Amino acid sequence: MVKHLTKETFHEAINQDKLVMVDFWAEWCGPCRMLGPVLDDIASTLADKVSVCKVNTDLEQELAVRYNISSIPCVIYFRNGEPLRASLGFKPKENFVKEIEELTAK
Amino acid sequence: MTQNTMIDNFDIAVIGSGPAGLAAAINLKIRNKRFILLGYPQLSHQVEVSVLIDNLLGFPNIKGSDLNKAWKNHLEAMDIRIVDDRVRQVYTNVFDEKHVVACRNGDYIVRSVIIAAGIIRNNLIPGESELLGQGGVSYCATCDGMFYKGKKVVIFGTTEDAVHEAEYLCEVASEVVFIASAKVKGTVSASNCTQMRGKPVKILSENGKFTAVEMFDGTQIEGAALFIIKDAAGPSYLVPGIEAENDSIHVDADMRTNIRGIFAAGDCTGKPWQLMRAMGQGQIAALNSVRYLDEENYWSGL
Repeated sequence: MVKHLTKETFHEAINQDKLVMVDFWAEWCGPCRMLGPVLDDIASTLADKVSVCKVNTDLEQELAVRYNISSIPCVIYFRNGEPLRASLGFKPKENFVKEIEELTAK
Repeated sequence: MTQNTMIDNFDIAVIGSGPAGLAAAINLKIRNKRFILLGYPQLSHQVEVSVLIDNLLGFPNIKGSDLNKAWKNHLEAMDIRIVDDRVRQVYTNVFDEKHVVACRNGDYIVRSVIIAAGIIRNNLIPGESELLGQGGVSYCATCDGMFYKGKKVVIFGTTEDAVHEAEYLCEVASEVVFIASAKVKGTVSASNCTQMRGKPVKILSENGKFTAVEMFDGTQIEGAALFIIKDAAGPSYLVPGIEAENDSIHVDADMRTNIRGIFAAGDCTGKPWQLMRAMGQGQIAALNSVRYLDEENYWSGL
């Protein structure tokens, strides 16, 4: 299940020891909508490796500004509150899976 | 970007109306497949301006413009239409193995795509690829314009599409400077837009973010973002996730790319950039695209 975050729930959601993917998106953004089903798929098939969350940049402008978002979709990977890596634009599922594998390799 | 109409009455999308795309289209038509051919109705500009083609089998020293005419006649005879819509990007495997070909006027949901988009001939402006995305340079005003609401932006365009993108920016940004190359005929009438002719020679930045473009005469035009609207972007931008090297898409002997259901043909797959190679590849891609649709285990043999 993809979690929708607000500025109130953001801090707790990214402060996990588990890898968290946060997708910064907007309703008017075509590629963001295309990414939706891909992220839903990742949320259900890789739930043990990663937590998938979304932030609507129109509704949560403070969060968008805090992370310097100027091009969407922008997926930022977090662990224990720290941003590890950002991924810009639509990518096929395989590309995200590879990134997740790299970030969860021990 | 507004909600685009989703169109799902086609199984295959062919992107490009040069020799590869046209060869693919003809073969798909013969095999009775529901396909859409996206490209320029006036066909290949490169072919049009070729004065004499000396190595097309059966047609020694044919003029490029005569070849384009012959192709146009062939398409008409087979009732194949070229849909004059600009492809923005192809989103692969979005729903149940279907791909979305996102265009200016609609999103086409298809099972297979044949990329026959040719090669990009325009040169990048120094700084362009480094700043694309988070650096404040974008290829799509309707996609990223909203981030610059109330700010001043610069847009450089080499096609008529740029006029539409500039008009959109005028509604969102506080001020727009529209640099139009010589080919652009349209003008933007909005009061917050300054339109000028020219081409930026350099893109300036600070701390990885766009600050201004520099013109030939040294003048600098500042802005919060730079939108570059041109004819074509490389395959990696057109189809995110596709394997390509130096803008040549990797294909196997069946014209398959690394993405299931996606084929590529013609100049976009690399050298030599030749007509007969393009036509042959277009045909192979089409016939295998048909196999992909009709045979359940076709792709797994990769």
